[in-house]
Amino acid sequence: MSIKNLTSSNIKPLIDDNAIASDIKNKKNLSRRGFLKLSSLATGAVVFAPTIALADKFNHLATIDTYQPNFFLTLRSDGIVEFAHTRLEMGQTPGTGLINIIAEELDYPFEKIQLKQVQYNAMTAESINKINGGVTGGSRSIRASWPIIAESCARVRMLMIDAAASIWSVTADNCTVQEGQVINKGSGQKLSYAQLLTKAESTPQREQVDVKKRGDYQKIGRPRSNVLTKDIITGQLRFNLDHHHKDMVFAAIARCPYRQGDIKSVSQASKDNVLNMPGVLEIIEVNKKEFIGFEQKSEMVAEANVRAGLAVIARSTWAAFAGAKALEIEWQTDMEMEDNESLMARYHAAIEKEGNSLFALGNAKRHFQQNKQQYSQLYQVPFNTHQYMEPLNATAHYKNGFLELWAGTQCPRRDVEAIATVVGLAKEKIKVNVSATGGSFGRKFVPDFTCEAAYLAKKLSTPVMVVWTREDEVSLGRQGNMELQQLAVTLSDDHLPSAYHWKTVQSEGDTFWGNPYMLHLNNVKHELVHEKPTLDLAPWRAVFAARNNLGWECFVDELAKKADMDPLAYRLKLLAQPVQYTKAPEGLPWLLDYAQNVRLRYANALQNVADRIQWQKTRKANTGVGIAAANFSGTIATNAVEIEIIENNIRINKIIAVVDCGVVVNPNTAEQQVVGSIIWGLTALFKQETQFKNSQITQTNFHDAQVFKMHEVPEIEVHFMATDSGPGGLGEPGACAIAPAILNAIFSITGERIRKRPLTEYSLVSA
Amino acid sequence: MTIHIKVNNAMHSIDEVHADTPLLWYLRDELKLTGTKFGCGGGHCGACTVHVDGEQMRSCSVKVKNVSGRNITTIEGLSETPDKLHPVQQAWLEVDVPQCGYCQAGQIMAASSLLAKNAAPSEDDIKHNMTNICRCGTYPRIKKAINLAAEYLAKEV
Repeated sequence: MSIKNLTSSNIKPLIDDNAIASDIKNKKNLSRRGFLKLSSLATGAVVFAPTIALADKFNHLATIDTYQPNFFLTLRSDGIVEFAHTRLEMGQTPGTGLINIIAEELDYPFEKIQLKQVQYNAMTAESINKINGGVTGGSRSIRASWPIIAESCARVRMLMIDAAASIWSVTADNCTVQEGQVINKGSGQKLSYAQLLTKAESTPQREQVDVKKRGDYQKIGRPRSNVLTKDIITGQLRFNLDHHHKDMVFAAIARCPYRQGDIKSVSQASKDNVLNMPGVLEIIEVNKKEFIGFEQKSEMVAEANVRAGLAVIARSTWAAFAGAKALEIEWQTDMEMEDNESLMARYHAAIEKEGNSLFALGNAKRHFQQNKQQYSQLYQVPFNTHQYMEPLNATAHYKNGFLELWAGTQCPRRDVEAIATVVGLAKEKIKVNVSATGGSFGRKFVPDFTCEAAYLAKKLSTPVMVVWTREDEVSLGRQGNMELQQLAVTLSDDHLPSAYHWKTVQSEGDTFWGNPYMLHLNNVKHELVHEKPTLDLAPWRAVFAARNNLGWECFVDELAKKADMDPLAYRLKLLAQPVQYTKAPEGLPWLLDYAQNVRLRYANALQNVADRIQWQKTRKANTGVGIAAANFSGTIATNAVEIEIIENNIRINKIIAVVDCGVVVNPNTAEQQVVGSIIWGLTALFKQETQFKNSQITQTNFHDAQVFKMHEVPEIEVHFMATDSGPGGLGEPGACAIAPAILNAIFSITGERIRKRPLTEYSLVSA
Repeated sequence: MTIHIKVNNAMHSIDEVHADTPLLWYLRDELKLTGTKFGCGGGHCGACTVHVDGEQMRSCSVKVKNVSGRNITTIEGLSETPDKLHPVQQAWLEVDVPQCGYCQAGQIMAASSLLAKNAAPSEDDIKHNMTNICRCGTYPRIKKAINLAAEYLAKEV
């Protein structure tokens, strides 16, 4: 994967998954390739500028306080190991998982390893980009960092053995390691890593080291508490909004309510009034025409799409909020005026259009022309906001030609690119401090809020924190994409699909077409139609999978009905069909292995989850079960649900999740992620639809853009399958199967097929 | 008129200019007690929950002047001594409730207020009293932690 080529539209786990998928069957290949690509990184001193500087310094020291053998690890003489964390902590707890991997490979006490967030700057950017593209997303934090971190740790473990062996004048074979101590097997002597720092510094690193094999893990798979928990529950963890800087001022912005638009006029009286409000310092226009790159129609400027507006600068957050609210501004736009209904009507017209071909094989068209047995349906999902708990905020300080940013951002690399383009600064002059953030789910990947802070900072001499109100969040919210998808098959005499045609309409962005139930077919066509965007977008938990799966999993249920078969039995029969092509199609070398593998994993996980809910059990009237699976970030996540329908109410009796992510690094947080993702998916199914009129969102806060509360959450049971696949991600996959599972359960009871979310036909009653 | 509030046992005299400021923002921006979080500003989500004379209150929706003379407790002052966790915090730690953690101070303040009035809440009591929003979906663990905290408190008495 070329990290350089990652842009917002293809920052999907797709690329990464495909690469990994091709090697799923042969883990050795996966590791080897991973190391080939990354080994020059892991050796540290060659590539990492900071390490070179440090290593140089060490040569002049007789004894050392700290030793940084590679980018990730700093060993201190007090026994603490600092882990250079390059990911954002936003609820998925990647730091805790990575520490567990370090504890395993370094063979070190978990409690003595500390997270140290690395600043993204001119010195570290290249290294961080190589490690993770400067991104936290795609549920890849653990799975993508694992090989390089494991190798880095294994290297240090071997180095410590070699250092101790040299002191004891024995061979490395005579030494073993336990919890940060090298033990001389013959004499029983022990030396801790901390005691070995000086010696290790002058000991050459080995060319080749071995990471531990899965069967040998002692710590990976052991439940660990989130390392941030104690700070969280005592109110001590500093989220970005909690960082106060000396002389910092606050900004709230009255922004243009349209995706594209500008200020038409401002009431001078309201401006005067605001300037007289206590605490208000000044009003600054956010003028897009001033953006460097605006006239050149820079892609980054377009993508960040900072809204035009007036920023009220104040001494306190509240004064800034009050000021921005009191401004009377008239807005103008030349956008077409759309609402939910008119836009969906436009999508329905667009589904008739020829789209961009995403992937085609054989001649699906001929099958559809010649075969009378056909079935086709449309499925739709609305725009969805993220509604994480910590509103957007970012702090910037422009001083001596440098701009320093503090933000809970998913992508400091893009922040730097966007800020450089918007405010006109060399990238090397921008430093980003990544702070823990109160949820993001994809939204804080978009650099608009960080650009706002940078723009204002360049006009001020003090640090400035831009804070969005919840009303800003909801009414200007970036959206998970709205989608209309069409699924069509031709059917053979055994009621199984013989050709497949999938078309999706969405306003922009990418998708992944690989429906596991249809991946065996050699007559397929997949198309993507883009319609003019009405609202701004951002990645939304599980991106394309959260949308596509609704159609894929309900449609296969529909085919089961047509075949007069049980939905589980039909799925298993379909998944057991051999892949019809014998070599990988051109340009997609990974597809054959991927298709075989994902279909096998689907079948195993579906059977497992069905058994657990007692799929075949006779149930009382108005009670039924539904099933669905999803594939995202290398993980298969399935759900089986039992529900009861009482008039227009649904009661969810039970949700069971069976997840195949291969290795589970931390069962404690893994379970949290799956439970949380299911609640996320339930919220989307039962509650969420962004309402807009005249191309403006009409909702404003949690009262009219509701999310799940405690009384609505049913019983959720999570199981992990022990498989040799993966490792797969866990932050998102669990969110994708719950909605179709419930719609399928409704069908099993009522015979009524619902082909959209949100589900407005029924209310949810407390479990 | 000078406003006096007691926050975590410390008295503060507040300039009249802040009289109409929501308690949340006075705590955060002036007293730098940032454990109390801003979530919605409309009393919907509960991230800003504090105790006022022991009762839970959403601090974004009450003005400073309206809590004059009252005794306010924030997450920073919940436990009696800094080195000892409140039983609710202890339960939260044991169950490992948080994901992102942003709403958790508010959840803990709401739960401790519930338990102060109702030492053995039923499932329904918990569901109806805990109306704070969590988007990470920690609700099942919150419920579990409240039950555990009730056990801890029962042992304390």
